[in-house]
Amino acid sequence: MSEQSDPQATAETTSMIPSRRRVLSLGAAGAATVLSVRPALANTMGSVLTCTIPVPDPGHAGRYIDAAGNLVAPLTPNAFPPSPVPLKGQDVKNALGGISLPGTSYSQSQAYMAYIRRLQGGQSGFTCFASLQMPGR
Amino acid sequence: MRLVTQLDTLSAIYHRRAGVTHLIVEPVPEILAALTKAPATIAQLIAILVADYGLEQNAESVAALQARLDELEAIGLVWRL
Repeated sequence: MSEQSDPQATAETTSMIPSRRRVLSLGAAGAATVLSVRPALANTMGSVLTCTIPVPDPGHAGRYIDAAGNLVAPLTPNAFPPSPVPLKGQDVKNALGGISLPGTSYSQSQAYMAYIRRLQGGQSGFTCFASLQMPGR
Repeated sequence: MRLVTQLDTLSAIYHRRAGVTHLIVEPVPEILAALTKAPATIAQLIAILVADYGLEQNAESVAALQARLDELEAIGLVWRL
């Protein structure tokens, strides 16, 4: 069993090491030596008017969306094709209020919204969708 | 993909795609520097840390290093081959 780190970070990591005159300590087994900080969504939001949500995300381009918002194989019966363009944040916000997405039927709009509601952090469109649900947006 | 900044005894690694900043202290920079040269087993890592960074090896070294690696693996800064 071996461990590996990102080779791109070679130059970066050698510059990270502070100069020391004492021996290296590995720290206690129960101690933490890394603090990871993730910004609150409020600090990373762009304008609702300009953010977009691709349906589906680029990593699943071509997949169809069923009524429950799951990604299925192309041409699956009763599933809907991908949105030809990413959905605008404002249109998705309107859809949350009951207005169908532009250019879609009621059931297609529902399917797209079901997909969007299932988005997780890290997927394209997640931050946009989360931001347009914030109060005041 | 990553920005690194030295902050006195701390270092900050900003991972752009994840939008996460990792604040790290000794011995993490040294471990990452050793592993960016080549993958290593725990025994090999200890040897590198002793030789290059003055690690004082003792009975707890393996357990302590394993704990550091587990921590780094959990947040994605190192991974097993």
